[in-house]
Amino acid sequence: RASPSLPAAALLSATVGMGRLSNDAFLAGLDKHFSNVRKAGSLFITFKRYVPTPGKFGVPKSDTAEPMCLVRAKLGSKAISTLVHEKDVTRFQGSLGTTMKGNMDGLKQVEKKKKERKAKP
Amino acid sequence: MVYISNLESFVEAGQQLFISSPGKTRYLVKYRHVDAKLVLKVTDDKVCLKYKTDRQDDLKRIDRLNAFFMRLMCAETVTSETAQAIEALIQEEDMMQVAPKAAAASVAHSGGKKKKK
Repeated sequence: RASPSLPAAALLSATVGMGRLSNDAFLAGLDKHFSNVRKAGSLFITFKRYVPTPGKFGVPKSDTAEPMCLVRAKLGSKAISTLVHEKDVTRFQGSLGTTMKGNMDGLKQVEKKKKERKAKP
Repeated sequence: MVYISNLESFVEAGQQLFISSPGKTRYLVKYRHVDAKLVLKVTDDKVCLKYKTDRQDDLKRIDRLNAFFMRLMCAETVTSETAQAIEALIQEEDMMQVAPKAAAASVAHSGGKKKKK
């Protein structure tokens, strides 16, 4: 863990593993969460609008000043997150959809059965 | 906690809530494989909207909702116009997956709208 005396920028880059990840690393971590949730627990995926503001020491918190989507995934005490830029949204959302649809197979598949079949005249 | 029974009603209410307070609203998905339950929540910490399901069929609509929220969250300004533009874009993409030839023709016709600055 980084010591409190380090400047803000170093603190940010020191967070590895759990925490703020790249988009691809986040998707990989989410896959792991999905395989772990099969045994027990609740998986929380949160989406929020993130508008970067300058940090305390004047160090910018992110590369651009454009609004991004903050995505978090939490299973028990293990939390990961990532920032998705507008230009990456399509790709990220596509991967996310694939992951979710592929892994959320515990849900019931409801088959609509017509109990009364009307005879054709 | 307000559970909305109809997915479409939840989607519409959730989208409206986000447009009204984009800075405070968050969209959450809770999945429990053990109980086969999926819960969606949209809240700005004043109003809370929830939807729960155990059906696989809802995933397709939820996937579209994810796309909508992610894109709107990244947009420069969050307004009804931006939201409508994004909805249109998502519908076009949906059509592309279902019927590529027909959709390609309509996309070429509309000229591909981009967000306003």
